[in-house]
Amino acid sequence: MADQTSLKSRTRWRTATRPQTSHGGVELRLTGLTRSFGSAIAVDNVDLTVKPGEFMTLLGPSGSGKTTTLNMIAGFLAPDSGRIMFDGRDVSSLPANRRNIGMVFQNYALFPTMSVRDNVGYPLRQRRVKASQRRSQVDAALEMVELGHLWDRRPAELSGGQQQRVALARAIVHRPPLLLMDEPLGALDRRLRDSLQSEIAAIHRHVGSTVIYVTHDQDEALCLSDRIAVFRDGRIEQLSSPSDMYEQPETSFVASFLGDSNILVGTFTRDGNLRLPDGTEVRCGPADAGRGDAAVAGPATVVVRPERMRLTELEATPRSGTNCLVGVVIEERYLGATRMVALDVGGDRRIVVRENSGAGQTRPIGSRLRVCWEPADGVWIDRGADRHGESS
Amino acid sequence: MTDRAFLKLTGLLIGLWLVLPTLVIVPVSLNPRRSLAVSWSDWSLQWFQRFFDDPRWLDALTTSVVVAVQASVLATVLGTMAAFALERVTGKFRRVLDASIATPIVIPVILLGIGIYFAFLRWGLAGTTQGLVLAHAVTALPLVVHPVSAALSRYDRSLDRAASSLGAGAVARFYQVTLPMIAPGVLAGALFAFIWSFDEVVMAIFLSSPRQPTLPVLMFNSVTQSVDPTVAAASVLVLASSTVVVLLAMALSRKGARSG
Repeated sequence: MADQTSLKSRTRWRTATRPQTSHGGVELRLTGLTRSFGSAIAVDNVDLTVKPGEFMTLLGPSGSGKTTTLNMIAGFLAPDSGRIMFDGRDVSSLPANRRNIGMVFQNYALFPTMSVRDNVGYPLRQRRVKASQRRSQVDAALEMVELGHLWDRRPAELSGGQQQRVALARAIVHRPPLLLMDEPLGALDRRLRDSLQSEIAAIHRHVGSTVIYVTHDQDEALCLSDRIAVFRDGRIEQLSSPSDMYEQPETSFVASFLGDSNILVGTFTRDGNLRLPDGTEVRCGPADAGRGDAAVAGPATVVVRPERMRLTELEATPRSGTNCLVGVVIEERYLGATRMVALDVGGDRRIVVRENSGAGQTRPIGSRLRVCWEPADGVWIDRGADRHGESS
Repeated sequence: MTDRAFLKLTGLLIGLWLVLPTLVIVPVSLNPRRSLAVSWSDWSLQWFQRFFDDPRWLDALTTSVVVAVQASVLATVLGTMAAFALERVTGKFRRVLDASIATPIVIPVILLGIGIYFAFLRWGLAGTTQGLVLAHAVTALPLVVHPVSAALSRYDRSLDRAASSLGAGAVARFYQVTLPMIAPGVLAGALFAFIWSFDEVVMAIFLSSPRQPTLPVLMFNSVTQSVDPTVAAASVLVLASSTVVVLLAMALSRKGARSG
């Protein structure tokens, strides 16, 4: 007992005397993390290593286990099994207040009875930082989120965006090596989301903490993250950089969750093409990728992003080597800079094309057009049985 | 006449019916003669004077305040803890607990008085101020649990998570975050408990020390054993102070409801 107390006060002293130094980030390692609620398994044997200073986004639909994972990292929930390590130290049994983290919540969770300055100073107060020093650190953190002038307000007197900025300042004022964010922009409107996104990115660069960011918003995930972990049914479905996640989705779930996508389902042929149900064969992927390992023909799926497809008139001759289908326009959506055109290419199959909206040009419903794409823009999701295979 | 005006009038009449008999003591206390009658011709403050001159009345007032303050503090601490515990219980057991905490309200006070009296006889607490404080504190418990539970039900639990993620242990969380949020409810409970003990006469007759009667006990004895209008003056003082305290408590619980 006595040992524990002295250890605790020593840690406090260290944080207290080197407040302005950036600690940098901690390495976070999850091994075999599992948690169920009753008979429902919320997080199922998750392994994940986050590098020091990395911005890692846990992306997924609600109920996919991302928030449960975050709550276990924070220390609000005990895992059924598995371990949570900060820089190789097992923290699985430490309570949240001993993990030295910062956290931002979707509903801000500011203390209503305290002023903005007292809210932001709260982590420093817990760490027994002297009042004079606390003041300057709080003001610096408030400056960082451009709210220095509102220090004496109560949270109820601030707008949603300002409240979340205060919450952000409060979560980083003590320079935590690990910063957790639980859908921090979920309650804000689009304009505020955009400006706070850049603020979060700037703060991450400045503070250097390792960030675990939970969201179901693909745009946030793509623009903020160093890496994204897509969650599905309590497991990590794919872990990669934003561009790899978008360009090389490994499953049709990831492809459809992250951005729009055309998912072509057919069979894999012996010469390495995809045969659609109507008999058309399309060539996919880099010229000879995967040809060798596909000895057996079987069901297969290919993903093509809508912006990689082009529409041409039927009269125009397609370049040789490109994949082309002919379809009838069934829907046109004008989106400002771009336009989404949906075509029926036969057999109830739908292809969506995103093209730049040229001046005056339209794609009238009912017109027959040719839709073409380069083989390299088709991404094999799987050749053979895909347990997540979905037709679109 | 609109339905609304009719409702208001009915409410007013019922209110007068409830309040007027109590207010009769005001003219009685101003009566210049030594009788419990109402005099409309002239008035005097002599019975109030008498109240503050007579050490028996003043001692009783002091005893009542001392008992009420102790009972209120004890009930507030225990009641707040009970409300916190209740928050974490759900299902059938919760209903059993709710009902058992409400028993002092449901059971006739005379039964409580007799029951506690026999128990205290055995424990040597009968006729002591400490015993009366204990009895009042236990029976005031529901008056504290109710407003504190109401305040807690509006309390946003994510504040606890925020506080602990920022480094606060359980004790710091309670004093720095939770308590300031539920303070109006706790204070309202404390005031209700105070007034409950200050006004309570039945248990006090059984349990208070014969040498140190509380104010309500002395008033009861005065009315039953003599004709002394000082009791009317005492009643007016009790009525006025109780009204102020209850209004304060109600304003506090309403404030708690708004800020939730």
